[in-house]
Amino acid sequence: MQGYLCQIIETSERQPFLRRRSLLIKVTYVKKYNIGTAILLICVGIYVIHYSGGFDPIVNGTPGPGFWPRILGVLLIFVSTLLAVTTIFTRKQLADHLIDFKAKGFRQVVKLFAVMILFGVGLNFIGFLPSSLLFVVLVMWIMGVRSIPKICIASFAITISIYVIFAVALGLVLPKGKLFY
Amino acid sequence: MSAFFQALASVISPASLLSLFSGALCGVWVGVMPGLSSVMGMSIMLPLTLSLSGSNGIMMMLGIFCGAIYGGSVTAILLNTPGTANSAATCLDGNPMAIKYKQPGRALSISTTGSTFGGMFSSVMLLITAPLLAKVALKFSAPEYFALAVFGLSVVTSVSSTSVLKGIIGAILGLLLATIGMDSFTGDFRLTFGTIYLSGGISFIPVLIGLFAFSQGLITVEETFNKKKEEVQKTKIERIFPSRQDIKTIFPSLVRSSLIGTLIGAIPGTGGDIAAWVGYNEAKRWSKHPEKFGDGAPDGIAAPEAANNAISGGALIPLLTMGIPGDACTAIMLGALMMQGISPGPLLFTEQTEKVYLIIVGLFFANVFMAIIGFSGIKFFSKIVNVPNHLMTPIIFVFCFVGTFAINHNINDVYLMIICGILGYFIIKMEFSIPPIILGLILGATIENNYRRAMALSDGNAWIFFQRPISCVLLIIGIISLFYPLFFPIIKRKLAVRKSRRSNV
Repeated sequence: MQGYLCQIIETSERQPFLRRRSLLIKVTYVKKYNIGTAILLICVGIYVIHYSGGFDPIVNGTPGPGFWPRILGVLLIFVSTLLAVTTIFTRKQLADHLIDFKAKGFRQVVKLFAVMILFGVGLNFIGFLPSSLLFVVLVMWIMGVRSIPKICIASFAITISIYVIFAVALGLVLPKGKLFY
Repeated sequence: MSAFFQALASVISPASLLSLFSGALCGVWVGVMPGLSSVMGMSIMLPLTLSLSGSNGIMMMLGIFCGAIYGGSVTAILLNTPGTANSAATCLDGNPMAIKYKQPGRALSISTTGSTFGGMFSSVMLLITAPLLAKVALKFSAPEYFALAVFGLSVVTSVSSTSVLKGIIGAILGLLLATIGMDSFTGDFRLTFGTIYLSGGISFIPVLIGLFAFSQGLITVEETFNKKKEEVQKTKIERIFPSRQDIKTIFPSLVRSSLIGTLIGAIPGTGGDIAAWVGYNEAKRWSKHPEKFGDGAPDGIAAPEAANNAISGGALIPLLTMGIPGDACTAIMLGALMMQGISPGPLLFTEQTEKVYLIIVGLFFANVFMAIIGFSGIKFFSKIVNVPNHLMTPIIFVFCFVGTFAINHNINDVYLMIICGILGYFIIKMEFSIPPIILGLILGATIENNYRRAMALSDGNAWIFFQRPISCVLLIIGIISLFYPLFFPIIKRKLAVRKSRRSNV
């Protein structure tokens, strides 16, 4: 589909009378981010209204616990709808892809997501020291560092420095890990 | 007066001075590093400051606040890359003076002088105006607090967002997050999904660290991937202090810009970046040689730096007197104060007078230490910039994790921080703004509780907000600030079309 769209745009740019159509396609392709977000937020708003239905909106003549979430849900639906409508009818040129999913930088970020989640789980089960050592190694590897001695020294130095500052100097409690305690 | 001297005695104790110095040093370091913002630095260091005893944590936060605003000028001058958004205007004249005219020391010394003057000026203004404003705020009731919180949130929403609609959505999401937990009026649990963790409400620090620090770290990784970091070449710093001639030249700009920065800082929602540009533009307008601006004019460095540091005192005015944060940094300060048992608001001036003066005197000394670090550490800071990203990034992320865990020793806070960080990455990419979400979360309880109290006072009559003058004015200004960016371009376009038709006729 993307290739087909690119072909249309490329062909139309060589033929001036089709430029307006190509612009429409390009802009339509890009607008999906805003519209998709608006639809998601409308669903969130509907859920909030449905959930707050279980609470009294008015208690003794004054707003109850269900009142404020309901108001916010309605406002969210209204503003999200406005966002979708203004996006569809805007004449402004919108920015190109807001998120380039194929870019190498984005792939690094996705790998970092996974490493962060692993670090969080590691902190819970094996504690700060082993998790942090592994975490720094993985982050530096993802960022393109390939020198093993450099990675090992940096990982060790960063972990120990942070442990000394937080746990020893400031007396803060760091995660100890469920497996060992 | 005795409260002032008590606070002074407390601040000049060795522990407080060390906390101020450490905070200022951390803040300057955060400001110097491109990619790290003052908000990021304060959010990462907040859990650390909570572990300090007494008021030392507050002293450290004040040091970070002042240092971070100043630190951005170092890279602005040496690399033409502002370390923080507040220092963008400093690039225009700072970099030409440093590189083109080979006077980096002169540029840095003027910048440090401007920042110090601005910060100290605004602390004196805070000392004079805050007690007066607190007397006015004592007359506030539930409708006024509701209107003030809505006003603060709407100004932040309209100013900080590229799209006002996206800003409003962010604010609503923040307000929704604030409803999670136990309702303070009836004791009902809302949006907790049966979990014990959420029954106490959403802790704002993991959300703050996730949305500001964590997500920004991810974006920095994406943007700097495979790009070589620009290094500061070895430059000879020819002087540390400004010359007498330079001080004489820049003095009028310092006073003018400091006043501008203090006033702008006092308005909720505006930050150092706006103050810096307004200060720069006014300095150029009043200068006898405006043509020299943009090519190494001393006033072009002093004015924006004085203005952006002057917001530190200005932003504390609405925070201390009314409990309304002026910007994202003071929002973090609000959280820090509340966790230390200090409730900002007009009653603070009557019930905890010493705490108020402690903060004001602490701010003054924070600027003193910022000056000491700035003047003595110029040569050192030019080397910090060269620390590679692949070392800085893991350090920042580990700080995020450790700092988040340190608050409640609860691993669920860490998971919440990760979720907010990942969501924050996509939120920023989708061109939504983070400050409205955070302020919505912080002010949500204030807005809802005061709304319900006001409705109880008026027996359900919603017109109470427009019958009381202060509340009415604040609500109208808030509504105008929200709709102004939407309608003003349309009105401007129509007027331009009408004008061109008339001129054609």
